[in-house]
Amino acid sequence: MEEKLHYDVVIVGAGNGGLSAATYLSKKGKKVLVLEKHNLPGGCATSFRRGRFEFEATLHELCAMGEGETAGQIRRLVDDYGLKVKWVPIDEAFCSISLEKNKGFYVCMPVGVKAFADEMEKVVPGCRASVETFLEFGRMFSDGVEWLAKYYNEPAGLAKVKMLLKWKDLMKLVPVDTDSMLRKIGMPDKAREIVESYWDYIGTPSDSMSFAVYAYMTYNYLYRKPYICHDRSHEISLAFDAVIRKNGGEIWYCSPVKKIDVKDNVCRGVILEDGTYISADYVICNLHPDTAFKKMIDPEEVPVRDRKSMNARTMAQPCLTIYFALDKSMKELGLKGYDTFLRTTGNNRKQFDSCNSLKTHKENCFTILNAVIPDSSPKGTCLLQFSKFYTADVFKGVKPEEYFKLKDQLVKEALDQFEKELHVNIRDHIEEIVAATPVTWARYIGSPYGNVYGYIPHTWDGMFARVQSGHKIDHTIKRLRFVGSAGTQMDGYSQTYLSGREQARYALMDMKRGE
Amino acid sequence: MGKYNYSKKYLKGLSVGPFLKQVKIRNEHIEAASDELKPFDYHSNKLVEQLHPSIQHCKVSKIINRTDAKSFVLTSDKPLAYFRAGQYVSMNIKVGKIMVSRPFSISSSPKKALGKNSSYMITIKDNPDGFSSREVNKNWKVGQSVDISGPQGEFYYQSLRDAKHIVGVAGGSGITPFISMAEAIADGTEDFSLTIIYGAKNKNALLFKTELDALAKKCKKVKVVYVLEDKDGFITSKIIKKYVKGDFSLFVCGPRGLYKAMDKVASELKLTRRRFRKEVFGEYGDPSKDKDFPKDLVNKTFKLTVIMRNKKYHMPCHSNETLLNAMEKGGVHAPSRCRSGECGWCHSLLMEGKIYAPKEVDGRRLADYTFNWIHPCASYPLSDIVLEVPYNK
Repeated sequence: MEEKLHYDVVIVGAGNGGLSAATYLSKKGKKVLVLEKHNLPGGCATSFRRGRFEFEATLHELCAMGEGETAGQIRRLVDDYGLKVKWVPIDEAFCSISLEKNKGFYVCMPVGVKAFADEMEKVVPGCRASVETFLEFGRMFSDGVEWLAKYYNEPAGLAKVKMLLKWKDLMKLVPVDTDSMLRKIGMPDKAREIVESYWDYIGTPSDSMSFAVYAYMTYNYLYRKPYICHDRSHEISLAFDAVIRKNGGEIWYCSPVKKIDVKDNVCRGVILEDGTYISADYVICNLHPDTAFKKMIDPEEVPVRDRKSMNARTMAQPCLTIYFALDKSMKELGLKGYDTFLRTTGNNRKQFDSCNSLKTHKENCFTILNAVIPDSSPKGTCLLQFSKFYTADVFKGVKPEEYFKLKDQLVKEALDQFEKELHVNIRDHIEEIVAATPVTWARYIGSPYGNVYGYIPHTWDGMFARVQSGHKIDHTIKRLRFVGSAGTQMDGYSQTYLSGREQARYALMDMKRGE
Repeated sequence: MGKYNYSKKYLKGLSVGPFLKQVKIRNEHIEAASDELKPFDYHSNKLVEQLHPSIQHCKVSKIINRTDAKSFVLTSDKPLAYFRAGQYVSMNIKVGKIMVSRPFSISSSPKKALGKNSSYMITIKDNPDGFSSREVNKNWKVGQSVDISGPQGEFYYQSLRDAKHIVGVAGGSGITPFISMAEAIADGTEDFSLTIIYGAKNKNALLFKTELDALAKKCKKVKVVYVLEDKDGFITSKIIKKYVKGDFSLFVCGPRGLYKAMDKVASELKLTRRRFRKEVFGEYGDPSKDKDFPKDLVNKTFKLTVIMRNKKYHMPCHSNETLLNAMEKGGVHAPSRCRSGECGWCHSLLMEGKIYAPKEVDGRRLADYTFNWIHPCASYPLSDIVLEVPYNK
């Protein structure tokens, strides 16, 4: 007879959230098993080789890092976990281009709160006061979020009273949208469009995005600097793998889970695709809830709350990423800046509304890794990446035999726009070219149509409301919790690491109570 | 609170009420929605199944005998995955009790993978010393079941990257991806010019000659030049210059010796790297003659411990043979695809021991070195080894 396999906690999926949860729980002495369908950890946090190049798959920049006195909650998290990673700060914020007629701009913004305000004043004379006000709000939100983190976002009793007194401005501004608040503080339109450049990272336009969330993120990038790691995000993912093993945990690769075993509202384990049954006291799921509930849990065991929740919430974005290795340096090609938003308009509501089809979506973001890590590719070459997010299953109707041509067409469109607007020649220097469409992302991470951002944080479904629901209200099946971009903390590297730790901690509390 | 330098006037009219009501409002939104459990029905995910199946269960439906080679037509109950002309599949082959995987370029056009009669053609050269090819060419009959991977590999024409004219240098069975490309051009799937320069020992060693001649006759964009060792010698830059003018990309597929020769040719022709692409060539072979291979460890036998999930396996391994081969011979069918160090499918954790990885086929990522991950298909043991490998059934 096969031996019975049992673990304290099984983690389904070695994405950022799963790795973070596994690290937290293994460090607390739990016997964990991480199950990953792919042969590598990280999910989106990975890299790939082509010829003499190694490409970063997805990492643009970590938020809330910093170091020493600027250390934020993500720095503390990676240090607590003991991740051995060569972190690299980025000494610029972003470049932003709007191609809009008569109203366009091309700006490159520095990091540092003061430097940013100075540059804003230079670019849009007269905006300084409003920018400083915005960043002061950002500083207050940042302090508030750090304060809340001390109480694990659940201040109770006296702490709750303290919160109501001390952080009432934060609370007042959470439900206010970014757009109207920036207008209210008198920020000129052009300055507002520049300041809102980061909106893509949150995944909802500024007229429906929490002002507190946006100002918090922007301030964190400027004050603590954006961070990446030296050896692509594969380095972070392997560092997680190593720490989990060191803590006594196991990771099984090429081991897709077929079923999450839920009976009478209690999760009891998982069944692998090859039929292996693994029982567990607790299961942490790093898949999109849509994938788990519709494909892996018995329909009669899917709670009404989750059925409704899936129908009420809006699926977030899948992405298209295009990678070029060029056989000339940035300087030779006339390229500058690490992270640049290239948009047809400064109005991000218009940008967002165009994202629902392949035809209409002309907005792009491009990243040049060599701007931060000069030796990330051989001397005399550079790595250029484009990325954009869609808001729908945009490959609908595409037949397999049309797919490759369409993919090449999308690359060509992005390249044409890039060359035309930046007056550069790229196509004569392409040594390697790779495109990852929503189909590619769906292939590797199994999410609905390659969704990498979870659910769109509408005003009613924003981060603060999710965080307050994440412990009990959204915990619908006993001994099962979800982590990742669809979690309480929303999308992105920093946020999914936080989500993993948050839910792992709740799981630990549940286990202690015998729930 | 004077700690923050913003004017309170911006907060006028705002209260903490909406914040405190957020959860309630969110619950109301969710409560108001339908409780229908909709199916997981997304087009992109269906395309994943169609384009990137992890395994395709096939049968040999036809065998074509060639001089020193056989072609196998593979079909399946459902359409085989569409691919880019030039790609390969990894095929599971059982030799006795041992299961191995080997990469083979698909030698038919992608168009033939479409529709009701969906098929791939795989061509395998007779090799009396070849562990798996001998088994296949000798024993496989029509009706044989065979499991293959989805289409893999980067050896295909990319319109933005490559010149519109591809010079395909082939040696031996390295002709197979070019057959697929030529057919794809002829049937309108691909749009580029292809000049195939096909090197072989003699006329009899040419595979697909009839098909190639017919394709060249039928399609203006396809040209074929045969370079026979016994008549013309080896493929040189002079020969290429004779048949090719203007901008072109050099694509090479064949045995390892051919790559070395083409490196020289590429430098004589002053080709930039982006104009020179090589298909992975499979096993690197015995590395002991490599300059940086430790001379005192040539042909040594060590102990190999393999951990797959919660099981341990023990077997010998040899310093002149890859860890992947040692595992397969020892009865562990570890995952692999390209067997050339490139694709990373066999990515495994070296828990203990030292390995030799030939630079030419060391396709690891930077962080792999830091955290001791290796590609067993291109790693040779220099000590006793403990290796954790991903699961494979």
